[in-house]
Amino acid sequence: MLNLHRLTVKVAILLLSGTVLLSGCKKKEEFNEIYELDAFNALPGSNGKIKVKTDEQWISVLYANLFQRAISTKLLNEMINSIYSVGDKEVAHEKIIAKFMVTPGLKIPSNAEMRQDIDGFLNDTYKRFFVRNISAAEKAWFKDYIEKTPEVTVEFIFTAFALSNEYQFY
Amino acid sequence: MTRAGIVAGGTILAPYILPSGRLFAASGEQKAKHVLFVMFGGGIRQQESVLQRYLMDAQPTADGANEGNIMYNLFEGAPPTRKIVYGNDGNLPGDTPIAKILSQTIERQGTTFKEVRTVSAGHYSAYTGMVQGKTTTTIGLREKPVFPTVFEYVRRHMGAAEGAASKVWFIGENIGNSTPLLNYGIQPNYGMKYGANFFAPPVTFGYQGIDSFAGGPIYHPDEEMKYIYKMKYFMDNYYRNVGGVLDSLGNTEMEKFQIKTFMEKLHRNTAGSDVIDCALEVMNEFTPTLTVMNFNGGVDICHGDFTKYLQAIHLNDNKVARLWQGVQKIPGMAGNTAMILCPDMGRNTKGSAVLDSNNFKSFDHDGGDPNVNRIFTQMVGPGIPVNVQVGSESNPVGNSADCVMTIADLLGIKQDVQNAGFINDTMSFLDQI
Repeated sequence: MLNLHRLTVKVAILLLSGTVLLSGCKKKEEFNEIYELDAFNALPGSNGKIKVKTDEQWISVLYANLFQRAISTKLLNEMINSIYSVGDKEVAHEKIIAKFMVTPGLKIPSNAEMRQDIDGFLNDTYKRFFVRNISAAEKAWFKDYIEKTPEVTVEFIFTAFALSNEYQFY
Repeated sequence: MTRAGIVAGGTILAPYILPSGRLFAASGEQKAKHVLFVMFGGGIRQQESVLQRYLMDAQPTADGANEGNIMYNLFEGAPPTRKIVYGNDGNLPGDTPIAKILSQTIERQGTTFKEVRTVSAGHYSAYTGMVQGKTTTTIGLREKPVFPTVFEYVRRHMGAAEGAASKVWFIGENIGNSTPLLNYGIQPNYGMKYGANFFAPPVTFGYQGIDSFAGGPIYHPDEEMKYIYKMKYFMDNYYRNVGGVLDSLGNTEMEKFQIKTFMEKLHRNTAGSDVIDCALEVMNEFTPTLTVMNFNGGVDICHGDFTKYLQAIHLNDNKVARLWQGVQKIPGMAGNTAMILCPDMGRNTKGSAVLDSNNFKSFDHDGGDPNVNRIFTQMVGPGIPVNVQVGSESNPVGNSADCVMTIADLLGIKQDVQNAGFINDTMSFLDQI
């Protein structure tokens, strides 16, 4: 009898919580309508990345980002050992990225595709590497830089992303 | 003017102010321009090295004394004449000793401490003591040194030019035994930003390094790389707002370019995976202020094969000789480089039950055996007395951890290292002659 009572209370709390949540969502939508705002998911700049990736994580994620498939265990182990065998990790990372850039199977947009739709390219690249949306400030800077710098290629941009500090964290 | 030129000009006009507050190199007397420190590892017994007893102590037989010097590039003394197994394979395994290549032994050219004590009976903690300059070291594998290493002292206290990142190198024989972790410690005022560049040639330049690193484009900082770095630094600035800052070893863009180009060169040359060849290539390319090497060349096989241990000791004697000969051919290092040679530890007095193909007993290195703590040390080069022997079996002088203060002494930063306050129980070998 006592258990049944407890269950009833729990169900009531769940229903009440659900009602509050639904009304909350509705309230937000109304707020946007009133003030003519577009609803969007604003993620924090870092998307909560506070832990440094291990070499294994960095290589695996980078390989997946560039080749759109998982790295083989053999190559992964070789690369972990190789990074460990170099004192300056920045040097090791730069060498690995350069190696990937000339490895068959690389799946990156062409420079023409990038310059045709810089906005779309930047949106996709931030999601691809940082798993977050690009901020307005970032987009403004990058768009301006790419437009004014014809020497910049997709390869350069992807290399910069892979070397960036944010990409070293998760 | 190129960006590199502007940076170089800026360096001349406004030298980098080191955190120690020093603009230029230390004011202590610099005896040698360059130091090569060889951590001659693996566990070498005094009996088969400096004492030249060959098989007499370790594998006594009824037919008398099989003694002699199997390290005749390092020590004065005639080689064994009977039961030759320490050489390369000829008609019989090990019957062909390697020819002596130095016209004068290291003993004759420099100073030999014949009986020295070591820090630890374990390889990694022994190495840690040798790079930290402390006799008290309790550190496990996979842990960075707790105190500053000799690399950090040199980089921090030698001034911007001689203490640049590419002027301090650590060449490890491999990546096992946590060797790559020795290139800097974790003290906040020192640490990674003063760490040494490191290669483990069999991996960095072997098949693994080739699969991982070789063949990609190497962009110049003044050309392609300037666009990449600009975008990276923009993103790093943005990310810094949420705390994402990573320490680095402090190689400049030009130094990184030089290192990458050097790596590519060695990837095309299979000799790069040999630890001695690689060390010589590094010294030839970067003329480092400090180069530290660790190699045991298979000496630790003595846990199970005494014959191969003898062969490894003999081969290592040849390797050190090759190294010293090679240094004398490097412009900028010949004639102004000092070399310190120090084993990590000895091995047990008594052999184990494990026998090899010659029925020789094997030797481990246990903490309780005082023979493990017995080693020798040699120094050669400018600022080091010639043909001097210090200590004897009954009169030990020095400790393997003294190597740090010795390097500091040779490079003129001994006082700075002492002032740092981390080393209080070791002293320069030069002060013990």
